Amino acid sequence: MESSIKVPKKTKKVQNYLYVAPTVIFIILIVIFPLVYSLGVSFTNTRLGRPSAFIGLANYGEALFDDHRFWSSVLITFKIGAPALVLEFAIGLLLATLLNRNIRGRIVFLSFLSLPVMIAPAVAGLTWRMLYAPKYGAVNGILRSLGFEANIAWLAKPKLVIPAVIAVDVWQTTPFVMLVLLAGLQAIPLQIEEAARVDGATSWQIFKSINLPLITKALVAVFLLRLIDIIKLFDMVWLLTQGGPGGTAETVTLYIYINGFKYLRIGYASTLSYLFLIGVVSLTIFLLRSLYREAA
Amino acid sequence: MKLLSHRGKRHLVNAITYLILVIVTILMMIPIGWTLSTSLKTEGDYFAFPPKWIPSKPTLEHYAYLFFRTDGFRALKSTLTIAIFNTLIVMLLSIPTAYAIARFRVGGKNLSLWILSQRMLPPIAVAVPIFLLFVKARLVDTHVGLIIMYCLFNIPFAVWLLIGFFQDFPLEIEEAALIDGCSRPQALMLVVFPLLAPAIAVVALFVAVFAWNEFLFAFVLTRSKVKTWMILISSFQSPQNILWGEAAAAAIIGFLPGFIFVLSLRKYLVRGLTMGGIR
Repeated sequence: MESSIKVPKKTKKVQNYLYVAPTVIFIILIVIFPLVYSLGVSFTNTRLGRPSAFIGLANYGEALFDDHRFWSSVLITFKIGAPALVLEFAIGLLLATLLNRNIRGRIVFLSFLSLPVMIAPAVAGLTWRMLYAPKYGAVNGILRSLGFEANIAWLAKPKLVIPAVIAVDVWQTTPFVMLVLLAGLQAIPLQIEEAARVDGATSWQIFKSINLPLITKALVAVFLLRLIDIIKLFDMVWLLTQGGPGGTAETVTLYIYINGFKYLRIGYASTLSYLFLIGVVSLTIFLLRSLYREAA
Repeated sequence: MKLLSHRGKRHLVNAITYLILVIVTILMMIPIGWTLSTSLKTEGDYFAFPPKWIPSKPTLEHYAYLFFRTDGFRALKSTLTIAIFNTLIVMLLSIPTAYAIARFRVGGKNLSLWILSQRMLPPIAVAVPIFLLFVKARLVDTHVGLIIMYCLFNIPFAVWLLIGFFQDFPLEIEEAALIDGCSRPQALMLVVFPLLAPAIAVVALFVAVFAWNEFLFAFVLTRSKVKTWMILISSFQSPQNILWGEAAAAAIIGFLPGFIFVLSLRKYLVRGLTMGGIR
């Protein structure tokens, strides 16, 4: 029979799994097990330091139908995320296109413009908290030196706090978008562009009909990454605003944190985490499907 | 009816390019420059009205204060301990995993996508149950706790980036080693590993910087014994009587690992930040 051949093949396959087993076990321990545990907790009224009881779907009902603050945090996340992504892609694409030109001092610009890419969001939050300070901060300082009567409390005004958060995110992550799109542009063979130029295409036509379609893959990938990161955003918003005046900058992640670690409503925070997870996962799957179908 | 000659047009486009690049670069650099300047100012300077852009008497007193009068040294030590051990564990687990996925296609597409999906997970969703479990396991406020938790985002990152590097590695070299009598692990250790050392070092540095930058788990899972640099930074956030000089100095030190990384390894940035998705 063939079994004499099959056995070593199988042991070899088992051996191959040994390479990945430690990682898989580790991820199960630090992610899957806590998530399963938290699913159980989400059906209870657990508060820290108090006995808990099973309350079925009550938490889910409260979050979905009674918790105005939760839905407002969803809206705030969207109000921060949508304009931030639009600005980051508009400015990032502009900078990438400019840096793709063969100009002198390109490397210098590229070095300076890439600097914020690896900055910790927490440090960005603290830095900008100082920059936004009404009296001694740099933002008002610049506005004053331009002749404005600026004494604006950027982070204390409900109408200004969201634009203030957006500005910090744009400052910090546009360079990342720029770098990825620039890499995409530089991967386009020069001959294509030259051929188009010989055929009499204008720069705008080349950009629209050659460059843009050829960096679609990069655009889609960086868009998905940015979208997920901006939904997950916590450190920067927390250090910058702590939720803003009257919770006007309270994103979903901040609201979950506040429930779990300030109000100590662990059961409810677990419920919110699950709803959040379901939202993020379905949004990602939906976008992956529709974007990649279009790109293909 | 052309308004400009071809050359004139090119000069105009160049001028606009430079103008935009210079303005954006200056706008991007102001926050960093202002923070650096604040960290070197004396007290009178940062409360000067209108604000001063260049310190009149530059001083390092805030940096000294940070290290000698507050928890600076302890925070630096904690953060480096966590970053180094986390990087070691992440690399030890990720290298064989990525190798097996790249070479033997272990688990097919599902396994690698499952590992990648961990990276998309919002940390706050895990933070709540992990906190409860850590209380039971007495891991709250320990270095070990954070070293373990930073694997959550660093392992998927490292595995995905390494898969790409292993896939790019020429199969022939490895097969030559196998024909010469090496076992698989030997070929990995003696042939593949040394040749990929620079790429692996880049991955390790990414991982270490991410560990340095992490805030949420450190914020939720530590109390008073363990304090990372990011937690030290957050202690300056109180809106009233903010310690400007110290806060700015702490921010500048917080920037440093990221800056050094960007300036020395820029060509790896795109590949790293997209986890090998774009090369």
